[in-house]
Amino acid sequence: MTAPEPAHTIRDLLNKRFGVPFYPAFNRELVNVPLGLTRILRQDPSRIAFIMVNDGANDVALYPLAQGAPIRSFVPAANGGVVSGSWEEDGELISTEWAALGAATPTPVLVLETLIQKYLEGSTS
Amino acid sequence: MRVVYPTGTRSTPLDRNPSTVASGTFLNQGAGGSNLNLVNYTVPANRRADVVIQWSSLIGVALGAATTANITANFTPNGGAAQNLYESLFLVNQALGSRDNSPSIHLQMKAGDNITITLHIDAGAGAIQNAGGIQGVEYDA
Repeated sequence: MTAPEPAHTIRDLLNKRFGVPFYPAFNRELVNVPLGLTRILRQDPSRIAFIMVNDGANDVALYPLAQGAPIRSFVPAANGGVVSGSWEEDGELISTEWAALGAATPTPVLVLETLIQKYLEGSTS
Repeated sequence: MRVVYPTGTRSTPLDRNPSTVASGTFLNQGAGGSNLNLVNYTVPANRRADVVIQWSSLIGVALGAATTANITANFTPNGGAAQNLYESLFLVNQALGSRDNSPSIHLQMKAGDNITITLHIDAGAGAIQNAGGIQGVEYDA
Protein backbone atom coordinates (compact mmCIF):
# COMPACT_ATOMS: atom_id res chain seq x y z
CA MET A 1 0.00 0.00 0.00
CA THR A 2 1.37 3.40 -0.99
CA ALA A 3 0.87 6.61 0.88
CA PRO A 4 -1.58 9.07 -0.73
CA GLU A 5 -0.08 12.01 -2.58
CA PRO A 6 -0.13 15.01 -0.32
CA ALA A 7 -2.04 18.15 -1.35
CA HIS A 8 -0.59 21.27 0.20
CA THR A 9 -2.11 23.98 -1.93
CA ILE A 10 -5.22 24.82 -3.89
CA ARG A 11 -3.11 24.30 -6.99
CA ASP A 12 -2.43 20.71 -5.89
CA LEU A 13 -6.17 20.15 -5.50
CA LEU A 14 -6.92 21.69 -8.91
CA ASN A 15 -4.32 19.45 -10.49
CA LYS A 16 -5.84 16.39 -8.85
CA ARG A 17 -9.43 17.20 -9.79
CA PHE A 18 -9.05 18.76 -13.25
CA GLY A 19 -5.61 17.68 -14.35
CA VAL A 20 -4.67 21.31 -14.89
CA PRO A 21 -4.41 24.31 -12.58
CA PHE A 22 -6.15 27.58 -13.28
CA TYR A 23 -5.63 30.98 -11.71
CA PRO A 24 -7.32 34.38 -11.53
CA ALA A 25 -6.23 37.47 -13.46
CA PHE A 26 -7.62 40.92 -12.73
CA ASN A 27 -8.21 43.81 -15.13
CA ARG A 28 -5.66 42.66 -17.70
CA GLU A 29 -6.90 45.09 -20.36
CA LEU A 30 -8.35 48.10 -18.57
CA VAL A 31 -9.63 49.37 -15.23
CA ASN A 32 -11.96 52.06 -16.57
CA VAL A 33 -14.31 51.68 -19.51
CA PRO A 34 -14.02 54.77 -21.74
CA LEU A 35 -16.68 56.40 -23.87
CA GLY A 36 -15.41 54.72 -27.03
CA LEU A 37 -15.67 51.02 -27.82
CA THR A 38 -12.55 49.41 -26.31
CA ARG A 39 -11.28 45.87 -25.84
CA ILE A 40 -11.95 44.60 -22.33
CA LEU A 41 -11.14 40.88 -22.82
CA ARG A 42 -8.52 39.77 -25.31
CA GLN A 43 -9.00 36.62 -27.33
CA ASP A 44 -7.49 33.91 -25.13
CA PRO A 45 -8.24 30.18 -25.45
CA SER A 46 -6.92 29.58 -21.94
CA ARG A 47 -9.72 31.68 -20.42
CA ILE A 48 -12.44 29.40 -19.03
CA ALA A 49 -14.58 31.96 -17.18
CA PHE A 50 -14.90 35.64 -16.49
CA ILE A 51 -16.81 38.04 -14.31
CA MET A 52 -17.23 41.71 -15.07
CA VAL A 53 -18.60 44.02 -12.34
CA ASN A 54 -19.63 47.59 -13.10
CA ASP A 55 -18.44 49.65 -10.11
CA GLY A 56 -19.28 52.96 -11.76
CA ALA A 57 -22.29 55.23 -11.71
CA ASN A 58 -23.05 54.72 -15.40
CA ASP A 59 -24.28 51.76 -17.39
CA VAL A 60 -21.74 49.86 -19.49
CA ALA A 61 -22.37 48.01 -22.75
CA LEU A 62 -20.46 44.74 -23.10
CA TYR A 63 -20.05 43.34 -26.61
CA PRO A 64 -19.00 39.82 -27.59
CA LEU A 65 -17.18 40.57 -30.83
CA ALA A 66 -17.76 37.11 -32.30
CA GLN A 67 -21.22 38.21 -33.46
CA GLY A 68 -21.95 39.54 -36.92
CA ALA A 69 -22.96 43.14 -37.62
CA PRO A 70 -24.75 45.01 -36.23
CA ILE A 71 -23.19 44.21 -32.89
CA ARG A 72 -25.38 44.15 -29.80
CA SER A 73 -24.46 44.21 -26.16
CA PHE A 74 -25.15 42.99 -22.68
CA VAL A 75 -25.70 45.88 -20.26
CA PRO A 76 -24.21 45.52 -16.78
CA ALA A 77 -26.11 48.22 -14.90
CA ALA A 78 -24.54 51.07 -12.96
CA ASN A 79 -23.57 50.62 -9.31
CA GLY A 80 -22.89 46.89 -9.26
CA GLY A 81 -24.31 45.20 -12.33
CA VAL A 82 -22.57 41.91 -13.18
CA VAL A 83 -22.10 39.83 -16.33
CA SER A 84 -20.45 36.46 -15.94
CA GLY A 85 -19.87 33.41 -18.08
CA SER A 86 -18.06 30.10 -18.00
CA TRP A 87 -16.95 27.57 -20.59
CA GLU A 88 -19.28 24.90 -19.19
CA GLU A 89 -22.37 26.96 -20.07
CA ASP A 90 -21.16 29.09 -22.95
CA GLY A 91 -18.38 27.15 -24.64
CA GLU A 92 -15.88 29.00 -26.81
CA LEU A 93 -17.76 32.29 -26.51
CA ILE A 94 -15.81 32.77 -23.28
CA SER A 95 -12.43 32.70 -25.00
CA THR A 96 -13.33 35.17 -27.77
CA GLU A 97 -12.57 38.87 -27.74
CA TRP A 98 -14.99 41.21 -25.95
CA ALA A 99 -15.26 44.99 -26.03
CA ALA A 100 -16.99 47.51 -23.81
CA LEU A 101 -18.43 50.99 -24.08
CA GLY A 102 -19.26 53.38 -21.22
CA ALA A 103 -22.51 55.35 -21.17
CA ALA A 104 -20.79 58.47 -19.82
CA THR A 105 -17.49 59.35 -18.18
CA PRO A 106 -14.84 56.58 -17.75
CA THR A 107 -16.51 53.89 -15.67
CA PRO A 108 -14.48 51.80 -13.20
CA VAL A 109 -14.92 48.05 -13.59
CA LEU A 110 -13.63 44.86 -12.06
CA VAL A 111 -12.74 42.28 -14.68
CA LEU A 112 -11.84 38.87 -13.31
CA GLU A 113 -10.69 36.15 -15.70
CA THR A 114 -10.04 32.54 -14.80
CA LEU A 115 -7.16 31.23 -16.89
CA ILE A 116 -5.69 27.80 -17.37
CA GLN A 117 -2.07 27.69 -16.28
CA LYS A 118 -0.08 26.48 -19.24
CA TYR A 119 2.12 23.51 -18.48
CA LEU A 120 5.79 24.32 -18.31
CA GLU A 121 8.29 21.58 -18.94
CA GLY A 122 9.97 20.72 -15.68
CA SER A 123 7.28 22.32 -13.59
CA THR A 124 6.72 20.55 -10.31
CA SER A 125 3.30 22.00 -9.56
CA MET B 1 -24.13 34.08 -19.72
CA ARG B 2 -25.56 35.43 -16.52
CA VAL B 3 -26.50 39.05 -16.01
CA VAL B 4 -27.20 40.30 -12.51
CA TYR B 5 -28.59 43.70 -11.64
CA PRO B 6 -27.76 45.46 -8.38
CA THR B 7 -30.52 45.40 -5.81
CA GLY B 8 -32.10 48.68 -4.98
CA THR B 9 -30.63 50.56 -7.91
CA ARG B 10 -32.94 51.43 -10.75
CA SER B 11 -34.87 48.22 -10.19
CA THR B 12 -38.05 50.26 -9.91
CA PRO B 13 -38.60 53.81 -11.12
CA LEU B 14 -39.03 55.24 -7.64
CA ASP B 15 -35.58 53.90 -6.69
CA ARG B 16 -33.92 56.25 -9.11
CA ASN B 17 -32.34 58.95 -6.97
CA PRO B 18 -35.60 59.89 -5.27
CA SER B 19 -36.27 63.16 -3.48
CA THR B 20 -39.35 64.42 -1.68
CA VAL B 21 -41.62 67.04 -3.17
CA ALA B 22 -43.44 68.89 -0.39
CA SER B 23 -44.70 72.44 -0.72
CA GLY B 24 -47.70 74.29 0.62
CA THR B 25 -48.85 77.12 2.80
CA PHE B 26 -51.79 78.95 4.33
CA LEU B 27 -53.15 82.00 2.55
CA ASN B 28 -55.63 84.67 3.61
CA GLN B 29 -56.58 87.21 0.98
CA GLY B 30 -59.07 90.08 1.10
CA ALA B 31 -61.21 91.35 -1.77
CA GLY B 32 -59.20 93.00 -4.52
CA GLY B 33 -55.93 91.48 -3.42
CA SER B 34 -53.48 90.08 -5.91
CA ASN B 35 -53.55 86.47 -7.05
CA LEU B 36 -51.54 84.19 -4.79
CA ASN B 37 -49.96 80.83 -5.53
CA LEU B 38 -50.42 78.09 -3.00
CA VAL B 39 -48.18 75.85 -5.15
CA ASN B 40 -46.06 76.49 -8.22
CA TYR B 41 -44.04 73.37 -9.03
CA THR B 42 -42.20 72.44 -12.24
CA VAL B 43 -40.50 69.07 -12.72
CA PRO B 44 -36.76 69.68 -13.34
CA ALA B 45 -34.96 68.43 -16.45
CA ASN B 46 -34.27 64.69 -16.57
CA ARG B 47 -36.68 64.01 -13.70
CA ARG B 48 -40.19 62.70 -13.24
CA ALA B 49 -42.58 63.17 -10.36
CA ASP B 50 -45.40 61.25 -8.77
CA VAL B 51 -47.34 63.70 -6.59
CA VAL B 52 -50.67 64.47 -4.97
CA ILE B 53 -52.26 67.91 -4.57
CA GLN B 54 -55.09 68.89 -2.26
CA TRP B 55 -56.39 71.99 -0.53
CA SER B 56 -59.22 73.34 1.57
CA SER B 57 -60.80 76.76 1.30
CA LEU B 58 -63.05 78.83 3.54
CA ILE B 59 -64.86 82.14 3.26
CA GLY B 60 -63.47 84.19 6.16
CA VAL B 61 -65.51 87.32 5.43
CA ALA B 62 -68.76 87.08 3.48
CA LEU B 63 -68.36 88.00 -0.17
CA GLY B 64 -69.96 91.18 -1.49
CA ALA B 65 -72.66 91.46 -4.13
CA ALA B 66 -70.10 91.78 -6.91
CA THR B 67 -67.31 89.62 -5.54
CA THR B 68 -66.48 86.04 -6.52
CA ALA B 69 -63.46 84.02 -5.46
CA ASN B 70 -61.83 80.89 -6.72
CA ILE B 71 -58.93 78.58 -6.06
CA THR B 72 -57.82 76.84 -9.23
CA ALA B 73 -55.40 74.01 -9.98
CA ASN B 74 -53.85 74.34 -13.43
CA PHE B 75 -51.71 71.62 -14.95
CA THR B 76 -49.52 72.67 -17.88
CA PRO B 77 -47.77 69.81 -19.67
CA ASN B 78 -44.34 70.65 -21.08
CA GLY B 79 -45.00 72.34 -24.41
CA GLY B 80 -48.77 72.10 -24.07
CA ALA B 81 -51.68 74.23 -22.95
CA ALA B 82 -52.81 74.68 -19.36
CA GLN B 83 -55.58 72.37 -18.18
CA ASN B 84 -57.88 73.21 -15.31
CA LEU B 85 -57.93 70.22 -12.98
CA TYR B 86 -60.26 71.51 -10.30
CA GLU B 87 -61.74 74.82 -9.14
CA SER B 88 -63.16 75.83 -5.79
CA LEU B 89 -65.59 78.53 -6.88
CA PHE B 90 -67.42 80.88 -4.50
CA LEU B 91 -70.12 83.02 -6.08
CA VAL B 92 -71.32 86.45 -5.04
CA ASN B 93 -72.76 86.92 -1.54
CA GLN B 94 -71.20 83.63 -0.37
CA ALA B 95 -71.76 83.43 3.38
CA LEU B 96 -69.14 83.45 6.11
CA GLY B 97 -67.97 79.94 6.83
CA SER B 98 -68.69 78.51 3.39
CA ARG B 99 -66.18 75.77 2.55
CA ASP B 100 -64.89 73.72 -0.31
CA ASN B 101 -62.31 70.96 -0.14
CA SER B 102 -60.66 69.74 -3.29
CA PRO B 103 -60.31 66.03 -3.93
CA SER B 104 -56.90 64.49 -3.57
CA ILE B 105 -55.57 64.67 -7.14
CA HIS B 106 -52.84 62.24 -8.18
CA LEU B 107 -50.45 63.51 -10.86
CA GLN B 108 -47.73 61.67 -12.76
CA MET B 109 -45.56 64.40 -14.24
CA LYS B 110 -42.64 64.50 -16.66
CA ALA B 111 -39.79 66.99 -17.02
CA GLY B 112 -41.06 70.51 -17.65
CA ASP B 113 -44.64 69.82 -16.54
CA ASN B 114 -45.99 72.50 -14.20
CA ILE B 115 -48.72 72.53 -11.58
CA THR B 116 -50.04 75.68 -9.91
CA ILE B 117 -52.74 76.20 -7.33
CA THR B 118 -53.78 79.83 -7.48
CA LEU B 119 -56.09 81.87 -5.28
CA HIS B 120 -58.07 84.74 -6.80
CA ILE B 121 -60.64 87.07 -5.28
CA ASP B 122 -62.40 89.94 -7.05
CA ALA B 123 -62.50 93.49 -5.80
CA GLY B 124 -65.43 94.43 -3.60
CA ALA B 125 -65.94 92.89 -0.20
CA GLY B 126 -64.98 89.66 1.53
CA ALA B 127 -61.98 87.48 2.26
CA ILE B 128 -61.00 83.88 1.59
CA GLN B 129 -58.66 81.48 3.33
CA ASN B 130 -56.87 78.63 1.63
CA ALA B 131 -54.59 75.86 2.94
CA GLY B 132 -52.98 72.91 1.21
CA GLY B 133 -50.21 72.02 -1.18
CA ILE B 134 -48.35 69.30 -2.99
CA GLN B 135 -46.63 66.17 -1.72
CA GLY B 136 -44.92 63.32 -3.50
CA VAL B 137 -41.67 61.97 -4.89
CA GLU B 138 -39.39 63.07 -7.70
CA TYR B 139 -36.99 60.65 -9.41
CA ASP B 140 -34.62 60.29 -12.38
CA ALA B 141 -36.33 59.86 -15.72
